Amino acid sequence: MDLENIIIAGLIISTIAGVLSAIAFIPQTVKSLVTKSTSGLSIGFVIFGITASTIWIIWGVLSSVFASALVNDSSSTTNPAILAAQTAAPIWTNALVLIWSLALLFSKIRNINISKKQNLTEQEYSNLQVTKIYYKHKDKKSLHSKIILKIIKSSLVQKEEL
Amino acid sequence: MTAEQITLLLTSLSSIAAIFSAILFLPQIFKSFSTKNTADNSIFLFIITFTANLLWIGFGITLLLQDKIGDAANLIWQNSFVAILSLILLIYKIIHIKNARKLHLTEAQYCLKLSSEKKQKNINKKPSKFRNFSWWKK
Repeated sequence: MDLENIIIAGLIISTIAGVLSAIAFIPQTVKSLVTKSTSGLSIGFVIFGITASTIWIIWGVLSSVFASALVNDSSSTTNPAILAAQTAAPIWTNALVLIWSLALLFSKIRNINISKKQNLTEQEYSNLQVTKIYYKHKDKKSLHSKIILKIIKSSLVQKEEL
Repeated sequence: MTAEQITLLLTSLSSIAAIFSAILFLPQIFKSFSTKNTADNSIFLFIITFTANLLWIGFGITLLLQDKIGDAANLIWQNSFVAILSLILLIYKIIHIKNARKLHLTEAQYCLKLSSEKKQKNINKKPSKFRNFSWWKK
């Protein structure tokens, strides 16, 4: 393979990987927001995610700002489209991760605060919430309810009426 | 700023970010293993992260072929670390799902059962210093 082919293959792989990294937090955020139950989620995980993606965004912006100042001998491609894609990728993927992990942090902090106010542990509060949602949607036949029941199924502890 | 200073700034920023992305799953592992609760984690988070990190390692290999050894080494160690951690969590979650299915419980019920069994076991033990230092359990 010649060098240009390797670069293009790398670009395709990194684009797919970037898309996957960008959407990685979506299932977790949807699950946490729907079940309103975040007791099994570590707040350190969320905070590290936010920090890492913020620094990556700053890095991406700075490196595209200074791209002209850095006369880069090591860059082995001269194709401007490939260069533009390479510099833009870290910014948009990490911006998506940042948005979803901020939503996750928001729901986690809200749950901690509400459970403290009600003198419950976070786990007890989440169990109550999931049971409430289960009863709200149990006998409904709409697609919306079916999807919600499927999402909360694994977090459900109590099936009896409160 | 000179080009060297800019390069230094960018390199240090990217290494800090790489460290944070690499240790992303460590607090989650501590928490999942200490509380034995995996019901609130989405399995797709681990699957997608694992696949993405395998692809990033593949990208690192294409960089190796271009003789950009420094970039490639960073990319490969960081992503293989994250891939291993997310694989551990994925396997742990799958084990819990399977065991819960065997007992005809939901996953959350099974996790609660496990953690109460652990409490029963530890009821006579003196609490260790390590256990008091539990910011990750939040």
